Amino acid sequence: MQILASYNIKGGVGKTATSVNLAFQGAHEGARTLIWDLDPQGAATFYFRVRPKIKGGSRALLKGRHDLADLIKATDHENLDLLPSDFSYRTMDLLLDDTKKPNERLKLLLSPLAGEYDYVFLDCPPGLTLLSESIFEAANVLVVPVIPTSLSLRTLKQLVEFRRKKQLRNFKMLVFFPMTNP
Amino acid sequence: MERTQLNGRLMILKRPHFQIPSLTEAQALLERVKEQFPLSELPSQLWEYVYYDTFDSRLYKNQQLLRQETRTDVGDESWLCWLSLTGNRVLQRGRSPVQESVIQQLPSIPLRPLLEPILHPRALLSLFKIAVQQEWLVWKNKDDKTVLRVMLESTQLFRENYLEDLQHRLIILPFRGYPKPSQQIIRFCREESLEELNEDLFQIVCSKLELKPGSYQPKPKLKLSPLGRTDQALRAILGESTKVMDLNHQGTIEAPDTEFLHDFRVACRRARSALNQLKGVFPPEQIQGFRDDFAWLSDRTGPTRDLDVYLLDFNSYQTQLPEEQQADLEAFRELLLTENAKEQKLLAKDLQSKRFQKFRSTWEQFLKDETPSTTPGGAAEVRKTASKRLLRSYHRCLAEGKAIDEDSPDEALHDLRKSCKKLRYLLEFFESLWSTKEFQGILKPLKALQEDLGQFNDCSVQQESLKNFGDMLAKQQPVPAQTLVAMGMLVSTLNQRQAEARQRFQGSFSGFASTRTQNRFNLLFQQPTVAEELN
Repeated sequence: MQILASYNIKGGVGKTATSVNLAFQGAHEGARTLIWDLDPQGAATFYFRVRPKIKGGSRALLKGRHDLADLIKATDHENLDLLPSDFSYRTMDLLLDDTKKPNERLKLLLSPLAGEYDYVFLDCPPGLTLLSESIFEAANVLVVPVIPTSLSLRTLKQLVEFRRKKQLRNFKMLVFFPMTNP
Repeated sequence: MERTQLNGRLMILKRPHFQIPSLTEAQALLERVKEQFPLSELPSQLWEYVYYDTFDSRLYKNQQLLRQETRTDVGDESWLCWLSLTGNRVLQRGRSPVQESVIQQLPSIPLRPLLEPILHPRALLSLFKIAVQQEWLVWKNKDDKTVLRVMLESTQLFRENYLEDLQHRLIILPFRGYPKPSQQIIRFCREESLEELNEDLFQIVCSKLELKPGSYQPKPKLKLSPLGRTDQALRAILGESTKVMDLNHQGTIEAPDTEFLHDFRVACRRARSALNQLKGVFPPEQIQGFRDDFAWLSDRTGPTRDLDVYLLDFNSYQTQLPEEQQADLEAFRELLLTENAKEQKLLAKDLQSKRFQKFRSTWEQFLKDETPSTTPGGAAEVRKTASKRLLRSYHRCLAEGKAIDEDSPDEALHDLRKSCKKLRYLLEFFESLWSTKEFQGILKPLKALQEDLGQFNDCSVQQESLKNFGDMLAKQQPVPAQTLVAMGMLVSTLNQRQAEARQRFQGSFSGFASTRTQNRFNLLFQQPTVAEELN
């Protein structure tokens, strides 16, 4: 199971469009695919017409009260499932801070799904937070959409610098321009 | 929602299937379903499914199926689905080339890395084709989100000149996270007294076509009667080997993979060995012609099989060389491929020749002839004959092995290898006359010895052949000097391995010749005959 996070510190760069389209393409080619909408805005969840709600919210999720598999919803597309967003994700950082080894939390939660999916796409919220660090730990690939603006490039530099300082070598970084025609 | 556990972890939704007796009833049912539930229709679809497996049903034995699904009403959409046998769950699904020939050439298909460990070295063969018509209904909730799909599937089997109706079934496709709609439809189907199907389409077609996947046995287990006559037993042994030959005859001619020839050749060798070792069971004039025929077949199948083995082992030859020299062997691979194609053509011709047809028909007459043999050997009680032959064969192996020392020529080990092979065949022929447990004790040391002798022989034969191939290459055309150097290096590696096998020989032979094994042989085969026991 490959975990690909669509991530950027900056918002509005096309993270959701990236994860939704890549996940759809993977599923369409026959790969068993899951999207986890980690953004409390719930845009990916909205795309698939699923209600942005999970049983027990972030707290129950992070405490492991529910099996992650029980929260998954099928989308209208074959091979493509969704773990919906929930408004309580906005406090995910605070809750993570309260758990043991917060950086490993996401990886741990996803591990039981290893035999079930070929790809998991994480649609991440913007920011560089404790949740982001948990994402970095879980991901095999960080897909980073960057738009050609000085602010977007600035956050890319911040990310590269953060990765270097923290010596995060477990994931590849794929940086690309979305919203452009090749 | 009902979930099924697969491979310990994989959680996949079960898709209940309900049988509907006829198309009219199916259509009426669809109308009733639409009246009761908020289901809307989607355009119907036409597909063709082709099922694949190897000749020896490797996927089926692994509880799996491979099915190519091709859309036939619009476009050229085609999928290759790797399914679990029970319940038809999809293990992997990948876009597929449409042409059947491409599927059969495993290297070109996307699922190759997953399938190859199961299939190698066998080829995929198409088993049968079915036409599928799908009528789709979809249930959407108030957010316009699909929460259930229902499919009416009508299937027809492709026969030679017509399509045969198979069945109509309603398939419920639940959506993960939305259990209620599927529960309601399932309840409805049960109230309608529809029969829930456990048998998959694959099994239904297999029984229609009288296919018995997984039943092929390259070494059939014979059940001989201990009190029976030896001539009857020998006919049964020969008959079983002949069945295997027949099953592999066409495949050996067409050669989609190397194993048809392998199994054909082994079956011939077993029959030949039985005829030669059980002398005196039939009058010599009755079977001499067949002995010659089997010798001819052994001779004719040898060259292609040898070349097959080289090609199958080619990658391991390459890895025996330093990495930078591995590519130097490519010219040798080319030569093997050319020679293999030539030999295969000759073999195919031989197996369709008048000589082969004549042999096959006279042999059939001999096997079917129930006239008792006129010789005393034919009338003898089979367990008595078997005991005598097995003991004699074992003692011969013992004598040959004991005579081998450090100075013995390689030929002495080759001779012992042949004698051990004969003993192994005899044990396999007569296994059913004794209990399995008793047999395992004597088979184990024999197998260990055969393993070392086999390696010794392979290394020796391969060195000789490599030298010959080297000469052929040198004569044929300007050949890169590096290829001949690489082949030379291979010869010395094989020489080394041959020496190692020879060193191991004393160890494995001492197990075979131990007092314990000798006692086991003597105890087992010096028993009184069944008739004597009854008295």
